[in-house]
Amino acid sequence: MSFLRDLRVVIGKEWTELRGSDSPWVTVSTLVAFVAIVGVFVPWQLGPVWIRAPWPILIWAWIPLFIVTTVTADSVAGERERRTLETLLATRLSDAAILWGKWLACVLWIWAAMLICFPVAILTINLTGSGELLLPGPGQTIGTLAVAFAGAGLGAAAGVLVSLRSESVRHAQQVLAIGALVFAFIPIGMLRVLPRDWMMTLFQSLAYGSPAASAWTTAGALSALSLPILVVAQARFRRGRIALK
Amino acid sequence: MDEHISSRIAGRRDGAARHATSPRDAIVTERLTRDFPGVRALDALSLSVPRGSIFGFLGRNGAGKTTTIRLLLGLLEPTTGTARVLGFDAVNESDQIRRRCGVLLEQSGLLERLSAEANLDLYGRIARLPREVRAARIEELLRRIGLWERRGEPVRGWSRGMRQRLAIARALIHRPSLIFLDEPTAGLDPVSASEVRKDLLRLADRERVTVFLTTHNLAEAERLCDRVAIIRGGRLLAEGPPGEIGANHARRQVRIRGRGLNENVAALLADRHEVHALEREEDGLLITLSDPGETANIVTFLVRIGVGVEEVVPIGNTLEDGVLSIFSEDDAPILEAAG
Repeated sequence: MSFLRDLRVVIGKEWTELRGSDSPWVTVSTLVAFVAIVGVFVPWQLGPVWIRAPWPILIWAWIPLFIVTTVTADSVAGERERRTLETLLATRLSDAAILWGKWLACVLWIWAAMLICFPVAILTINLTGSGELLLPGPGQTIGTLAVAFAGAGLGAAAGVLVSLRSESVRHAQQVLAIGALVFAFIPIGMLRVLPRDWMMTLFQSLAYGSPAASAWTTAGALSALSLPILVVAQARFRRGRIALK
Repeated sequence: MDEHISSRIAGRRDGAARHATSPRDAIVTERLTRDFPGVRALDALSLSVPRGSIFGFLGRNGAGKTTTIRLLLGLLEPTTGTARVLGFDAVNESDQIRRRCGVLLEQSGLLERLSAEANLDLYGRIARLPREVRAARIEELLRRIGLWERRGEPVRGWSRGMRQRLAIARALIHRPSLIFLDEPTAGLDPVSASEVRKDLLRLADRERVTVFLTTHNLAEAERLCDRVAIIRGGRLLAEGPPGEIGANHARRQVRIRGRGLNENVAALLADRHEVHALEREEDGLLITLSDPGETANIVTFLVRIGVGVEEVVPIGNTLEDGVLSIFSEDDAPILEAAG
């Protein structure tokens, strides 16, 4: 209970800082722009495929993964750069509460934005469609949101680990942006080395498979990738090491 | 010296004397040592800080002051030696120490995007103060340092002096038994530094808190501290009340004015063993004594050779003089002595 209470304090602190970084107008307009792209533009371009096909699930993984790295770099490397981290380390908060609090705060921040995008996207598809009501099933809905959470989780885990080692926010963001691009292009590169029948099976499952099953598989894979990164980040997040940086 | 500060110091020094007899010190270190690659930052530091005192830890940049604070807070582990803070081991029970201490490190550590009130509220929540207690405590502290009216402003636009005062209030939000202040007046203009010192004394006095203060400002240490320790290159050079360090370590000087203090007299004085150095001034002599107790012999000699001595002014028993003397004996560069 005491750990959860500390976690809540750290999350609250991070969110207050994120909210306080710009004027409310800037915060709201950034959110509106994000929802306009992810919740309106992309579904409008894809049309009913956005709901019927499994592959758009990859968009739900990659966007939060990419965006969250910026927030995490500011939360960890930025706090060290602003010289506020050591004061936080000198409090009664445990290493784990600080690390997990920062991770979770970044993940939930981005995930909340994705939560807003989801119903907006469904509305967009139905308003721009043929008139047929298109709604994802409960499994697909929860699975898609789980993918968004897992994608943000993986990005934030990598963000924490890279930021702990980086000298500055800029350096962390550069490394993470390159990492996110590599992560996006790895599957494309792998397609070339796959046997032809495997590739066909993969394309078929991405095009005609169950969106719900694909979502849960993707969420599981992303979570499995996050776990070792978080374990390493936890091992590296030591007061003494950070205080010396 | 400021009258307000003088009276506070008198009160605190009485308090410190009372606490000094207590077997329970707030901080006790024994041969505390910390090595970094290629350098020994702290070398067998043994000291004790009485509860309720303002303890000054003096030294130049890089002397080992910040490393000591980090070791005492458990932010670093010692290479060898031990430290106990408020009765807790600094390695194995550092969480208990941090729970009971407040800190102002080299940087204020304030979240600049947040308001003064939000900054204090955050650290109140970290300390698990209930909401009502937190609100009352924030108002109490902000009113005491005169920043209550500006509580809603983001800290980002504030002067360094205001931020330092707010950071001291933040360190006290959870009524800690001990606060660590790492050069709280560094980089401040004289007026802001004076305000920070006044706030510090007022708050420390009212809160009955032990203060571990690092500074390289000797005049500040003399004004504020019950006891001081002087550190250089990680080694403790001296420790005690500021006045005692001044009296024991300063190379005492006397300024003598009178009739007949000419070049011949100066030459005769310069040959005497009591005189370490001698400087001619417009209307007299400034003599640095080999031993502080030799003033009477000098005056007797001058009277005997016919000098009409009109004034003898002993000088040079301040903390600053003592520290300068300690450092010159240690063959080291001197501390910053500006007030």
